[in-house]
Amino acid sequence: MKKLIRPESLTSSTVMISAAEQTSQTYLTLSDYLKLEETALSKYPVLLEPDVDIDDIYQQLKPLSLIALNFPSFYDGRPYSTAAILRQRYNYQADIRAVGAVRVDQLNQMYRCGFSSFEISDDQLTDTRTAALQFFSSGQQNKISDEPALANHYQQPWSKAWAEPNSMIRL
Amino acid sequence: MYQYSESDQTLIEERAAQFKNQTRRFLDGDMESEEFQQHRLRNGLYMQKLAPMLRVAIPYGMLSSNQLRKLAYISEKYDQGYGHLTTRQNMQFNWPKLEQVPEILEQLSSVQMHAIQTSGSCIRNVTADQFAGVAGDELEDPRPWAEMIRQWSTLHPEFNWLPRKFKIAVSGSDHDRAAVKVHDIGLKLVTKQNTTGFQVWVGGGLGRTPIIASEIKPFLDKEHLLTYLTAVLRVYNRLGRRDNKYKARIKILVKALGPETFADRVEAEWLTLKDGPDTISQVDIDQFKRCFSHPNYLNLKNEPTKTLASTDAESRAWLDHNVLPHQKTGYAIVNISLKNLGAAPGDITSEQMNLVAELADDYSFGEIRVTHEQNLVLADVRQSELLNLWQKLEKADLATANLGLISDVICCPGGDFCSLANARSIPVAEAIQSQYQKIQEVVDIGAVDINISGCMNACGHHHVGNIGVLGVDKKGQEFYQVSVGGNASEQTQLARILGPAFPAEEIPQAVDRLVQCYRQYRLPQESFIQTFNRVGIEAFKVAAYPGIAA
Repeated sequence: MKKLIRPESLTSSTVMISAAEQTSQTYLTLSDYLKLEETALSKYPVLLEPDVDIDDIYQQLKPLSLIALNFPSFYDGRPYSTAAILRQRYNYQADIRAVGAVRVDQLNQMYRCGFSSFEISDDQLTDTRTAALQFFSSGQQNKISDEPALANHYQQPWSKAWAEPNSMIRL
Repeated sequence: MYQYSESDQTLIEERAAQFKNQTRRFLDGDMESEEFQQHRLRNGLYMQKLAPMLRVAIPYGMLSSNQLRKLAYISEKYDQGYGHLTTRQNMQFNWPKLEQVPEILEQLSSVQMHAIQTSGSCIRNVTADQFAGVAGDELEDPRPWAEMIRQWSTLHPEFNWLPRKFKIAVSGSDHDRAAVKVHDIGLKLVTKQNTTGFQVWVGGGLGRTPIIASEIKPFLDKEHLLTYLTAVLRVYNRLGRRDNKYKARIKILVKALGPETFADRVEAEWLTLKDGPDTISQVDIDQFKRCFSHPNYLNLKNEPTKTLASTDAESRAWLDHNVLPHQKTGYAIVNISLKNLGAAPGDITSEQMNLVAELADDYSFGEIRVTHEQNLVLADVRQSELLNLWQKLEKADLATANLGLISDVICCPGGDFCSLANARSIPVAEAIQSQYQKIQEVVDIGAVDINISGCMNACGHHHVGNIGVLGVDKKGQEFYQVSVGGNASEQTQLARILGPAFPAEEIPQAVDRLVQCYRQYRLPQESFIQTFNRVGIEAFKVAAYPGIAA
């Protein structure tokens, strides 16, 4: 079974495990999505494979309230860049979802790159595994001066509503 | 030397705690081995032939005496009483137990050390010139920049799952001691109109497909360093091949696109990031530079060379070869060779580590550097103390006077330890070293880099050795391919293969025939590599395979 987890509200980066909901979301492939006459009215969200060049298609995805990015394997790093580009370059403010080989140990990295919801297998959400979420209290691109220069801009700076420094996900 | 901030310290403690949890889940069967493999590699832990191997990061080669003492303690308590220095300025332990690794990491974190990103498909430990801050030919100290790169790259959320490993080196001198052109990104500090910036080289590397890097940016203003690195990494992360791990390094992408097209892609990406949040402020630059300010040097005069060289031939040779001029009058740079016969190149015992730590405290402001040639450096020694220091090093077998000479062999752990190796490399190194033990002869031969790798992954950097030796497997037998003409310095050259591989027992003679060939052809003052470049490979082929017409 798949569960969907997300920060419990837009003013907090905390996710309670009770907030995890069962999901059986259907996604459209990009090619099916692009065949729709009125893409903005699509009933289903689109799921992008990692080889899609987001720069080529962003204008067509812009109206969507959810863009899902597929992880064909847990060690495929491309969706991290896609999410970061959506947030940083296009200022995309709606939901970016991690789908596929989503592992608890990587949620923190995904979150910091701009993912805002995660479709994850039930079996990932055991106590020992979710403990893995609690290890990082802050970003690593840290600063040593008081000026915010080497500050970590992967700490959700794109979303002013989420702009709690040093925030992290907790289940 | 850089001291950790609170957030640096918190981070490595948290990563150690996370790894402990990951290890426990793996041992309990709650994490599949494919997933654990990726996490342990990103924490420097390999599963080797005899035991796991843990690679500890020594960022840009800088160690404090307390850190070295801690490494000595770890090698005593959890290993077999020694450590191995690698060609990327790290230290490897070959005998830890998996269950004890989390404890070792806790020990390391108590002295601001860790094993984060010393392995795996991520940005590896950043390396730099071992003489940073003291080299006479230095334009600017590369360490503040290397430290910024360390902080920026550590657990970078976007670049922790790259197509393949990624190595960055920084050099601040004209003479390149950091081998920047054989790195995924090589940064060279340069000046333009009285401001310093970076010349950016991309796509160099050794391994299966050795390639010299291409210059993609002749001058990058220093405040844009991190945004530009982000752009390079992002282009690579998105476009690098993931279907074949042998084609996954950035060098293959740069070659496939062509350096100009690659540079254009990076430039376009960079323009979207330039002046963004990762832009480095002058306040930060000043702050980072203060972390690497000079120690409290005394105002001294240079010692006359005569008084220094008044003793015996051995100390004389050591002064001639292992001691280098310093930026500051009255001081000298002391190199401690870990290439004495009888020990594997780059190996150092716990007793030696403790002694070097003590000598660093007594003679060199408590700091030690590790070189990519697998030696150690005491960078700030008063010239008047050189002979006292020599005597103490000599008693501990640490005064071998061969820096940069033929017996200063660079060598990977090879088939004795490494499960990737096709052949052993340490016995070959020893056999070669053993025929060059007479100091007069070694000095007469002069500067020759011999590099030995046990497999094509090239940890011994055989492609850039003046003489390179590569272990190959021929139907279960260890054979060695010999190449000539490599150069790791600013005139980077890749060595060329001479011909058919030799069995192990023939390697020392084959190497010596190349050395004698050089002696036969050399002009006065000409080094091995200069003679090779002038004479060409044919003469060396003839010498290597006597009795066979070229």
